Amino acid sequence: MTALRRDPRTNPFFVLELPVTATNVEIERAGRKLLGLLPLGSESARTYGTPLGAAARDESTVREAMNALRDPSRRVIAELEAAAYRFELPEVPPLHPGFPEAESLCVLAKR
Amino acid sequence: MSQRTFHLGIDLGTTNSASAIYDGETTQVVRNAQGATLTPSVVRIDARGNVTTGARARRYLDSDPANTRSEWKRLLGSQQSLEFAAAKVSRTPVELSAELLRALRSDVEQQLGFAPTSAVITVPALFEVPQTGATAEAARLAGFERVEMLQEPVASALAAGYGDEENERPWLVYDLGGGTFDVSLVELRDGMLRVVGHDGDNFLGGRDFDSALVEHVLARLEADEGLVVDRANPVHAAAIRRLRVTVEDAKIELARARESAVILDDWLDVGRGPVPIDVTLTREALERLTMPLVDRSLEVCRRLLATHGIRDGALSRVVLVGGPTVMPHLRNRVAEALTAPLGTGLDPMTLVAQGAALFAATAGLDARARRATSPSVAAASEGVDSPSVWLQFPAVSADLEPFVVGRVLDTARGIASVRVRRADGAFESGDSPLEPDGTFAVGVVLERRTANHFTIEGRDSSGRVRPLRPATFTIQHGITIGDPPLSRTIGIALATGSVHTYFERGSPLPIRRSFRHTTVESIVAGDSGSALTIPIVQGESNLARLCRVVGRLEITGARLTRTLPVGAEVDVTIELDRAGHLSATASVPSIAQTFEGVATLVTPQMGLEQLDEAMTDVVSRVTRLRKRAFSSGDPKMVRSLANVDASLAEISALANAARGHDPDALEKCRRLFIELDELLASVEDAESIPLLLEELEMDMSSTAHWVEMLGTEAERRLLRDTTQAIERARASKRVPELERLRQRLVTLRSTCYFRDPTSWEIELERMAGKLSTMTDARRADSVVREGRRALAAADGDGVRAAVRSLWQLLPATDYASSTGHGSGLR
Repeated sequence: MTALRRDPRTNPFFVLELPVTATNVEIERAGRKLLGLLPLGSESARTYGTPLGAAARDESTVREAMNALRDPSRRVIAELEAAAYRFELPEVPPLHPGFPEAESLCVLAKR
Repeated sequence: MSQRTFHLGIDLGTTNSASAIYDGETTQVVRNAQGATLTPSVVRIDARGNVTTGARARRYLDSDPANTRSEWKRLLGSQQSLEFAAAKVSRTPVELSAELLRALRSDVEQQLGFAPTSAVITVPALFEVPQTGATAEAARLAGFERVEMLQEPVASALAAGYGDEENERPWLVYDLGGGTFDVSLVELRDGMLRVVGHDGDNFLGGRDFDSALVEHVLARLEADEGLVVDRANPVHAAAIRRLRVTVEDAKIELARARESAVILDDWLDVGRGPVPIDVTLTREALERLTMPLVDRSLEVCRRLLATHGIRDGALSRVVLVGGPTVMPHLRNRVAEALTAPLGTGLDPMTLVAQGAALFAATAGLDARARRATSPSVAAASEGVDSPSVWLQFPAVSADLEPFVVGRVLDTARGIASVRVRRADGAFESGDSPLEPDGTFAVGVVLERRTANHFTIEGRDSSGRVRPLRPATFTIQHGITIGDPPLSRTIGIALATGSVHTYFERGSPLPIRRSFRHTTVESIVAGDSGSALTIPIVQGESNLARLCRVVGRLEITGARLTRTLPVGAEVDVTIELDRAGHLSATASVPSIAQTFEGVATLVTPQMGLEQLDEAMTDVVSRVTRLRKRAFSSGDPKMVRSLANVDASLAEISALANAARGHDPDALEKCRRLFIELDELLASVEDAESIPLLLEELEMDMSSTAHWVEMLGTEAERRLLRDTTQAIERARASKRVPELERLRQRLVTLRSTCYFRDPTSWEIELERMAGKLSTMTDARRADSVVREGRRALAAADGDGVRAAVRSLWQLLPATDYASSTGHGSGLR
């Protein structure tokens, strides 16, 4: 099984429109603000800009972004990805979405 | 005028229930009609069908057990119904919970003057989806329109930590309820309370203390009177229940007195006239009999502290929750063993309800919300001439600079901006312009640890002040807690017998996640006999058979517009809300069809016959493992198996009680059996550690190679963290953790390895070498040829697409569907 190919525009830093240096308090504040605006039908809260073009967000997307950035391991990956797309886009190859059997990788790793 | 908000929290307990209201400034425990803060979780239905609850019903528990029910909470989510003989009716545990919730709701109405429509209800930390869903259903039947579920330890942590200042040291919540024991490690950071870790024992509670005392009294009767009770005899079982109620009262009395009498006239007739009971229990006897249970709870605490690397003396305090924690010997022992002071000034009986009320405020769940869409929207009824505004603000905020957002409804009435002022004059926002859709966001500043009252007003384009409805609102600065965490991991069982995790334990709710799977069998369109089954499971094991099936999505051939071949892609999305509602969607891109809905199952029932069969199997496994343990001399394995005999004896005693028509005993028996099965599986897992470690060594070495070659700095950091975590897990021989970390290594390695385009070429040829074993060799052959053409044309995307297709065609011959709950996916 594999994760569905994720749109890089859903990177949590992009969704919350925050820099990768954002503090925990800033993350909560930004998330709560959006979670307040979305049910009120705010047009500006429904879309956001990214280096890869505009994208749409809903309450679920915002919650997922907040959750991702609360988890230190997931945050590291999000930082890496956001930084890559913000500053090094042309050099980053597509990430592998699935994983073959471990034994094959072991064999290949020894070549 | 301000719209005052009320937030209701309910602790729906096994033995007693309580509710509390938070009004934005203080928490108040709700008193029932008898003036008590605790309402016994007891329901009685008399011959005329009249229903009574609480203390009035509890009076009959002893004298009329056939028509009075208690302790059904363990049965929530099961198919079990409870009979009320006189009225000749039966009620499900959901219906009984609804009766109790209706009574609690009525008590709140008496106190506040309105019937609450929303509440936060607490559930034990280890409740699974069916049990949580059943609790939500009970709330709906009781008249609540909106409820959220919160784990009991999180609620008590929030209530206990509410008045705290920042403290760098973590603390423990030791929660010993009627039937379960939970311990949570809590820390406070940036005003946000976090449950760092949790552990517990689903079968340790005040009732076990009662059982120890009952056994003591029965042993005395046997020694003094030669009276032997037979638990399988329904008459004797009923007598034991009467004894239990009396013993419980004595236990409570022993918290204050040195001695207490257990007196029951005409207790049990064994053919030579009624035998009375007149036994004196002393506090010393209570301590001696229950200390092993206290020590069992402390073992759980130590395990939690060790998992999180907390040393002796590192805790700032221990907060005690639950009725049994009032016992002096328990309090002394806990404080001494954990080398931490006990939290003071907290009511262990109502702390959970208070925490639930505080959480309701954090979650914006107003007990009298009139708008279903938005709980903290304050809609005003006064000042009808002023334009209305929908306001969204946190009732409680840890952030000193939160946002208040809103929407002016009558934009046609010329409001161009809004301004917010704090009532003490220490803060005033600038003019915040309205968006074209009437929405706005204003950052406000709070004073610490107090209720901050604000006014809000509108201004037209010429700067003229225009009053708004509502004109005021209040935000309390205090500790908050994030989204409530999921208590047990949820995933889907795969045909391989393993589990693919969707939501890990601790994931904040609500949550939604999607993964792509492939089918392992073809499903013929129009054939209702063939079906794709997607079992949703809950539990901490990687083995599907050790997890509970909590839902199932089935797609029969009759629903398909076209036949699904082996290897067809299926995108599965699972969603879980805070009320325990589980839903799933399976989308099949190749035929452009989407299937929704999931049957949330009741907890599977195990009958006595099946239990007997399963026990035979367990006993033979125990014998084999014990032989292995002694021949290998592995002390950890020997220790792990040390308590198995006690568990087997307990299961046997419970099965006996179940034969005496004690439904609760059967349920407890079933759950205890599953826990024993898990324990044995973990010992069996431990046997495989040497092989796992060997494989892990290879994985670590190859991952280090590829991360070094093609990884980024962040990936190198992640590898270092993972390596350290592996060392810790290796030292403590935690197999599931090692397997999880191994998966992370493989992910990291694949990410780096496949960054090199050559890797895809190598993988294409490796797959080509497996053509003869593929599930659809003809299709695989065609895909390989496509891949080679793409390679020749230097089309990297084409090569990658071919390799991904080939992975889905790898054989499913090793699959053992019997261990994967019939899953049709991998």
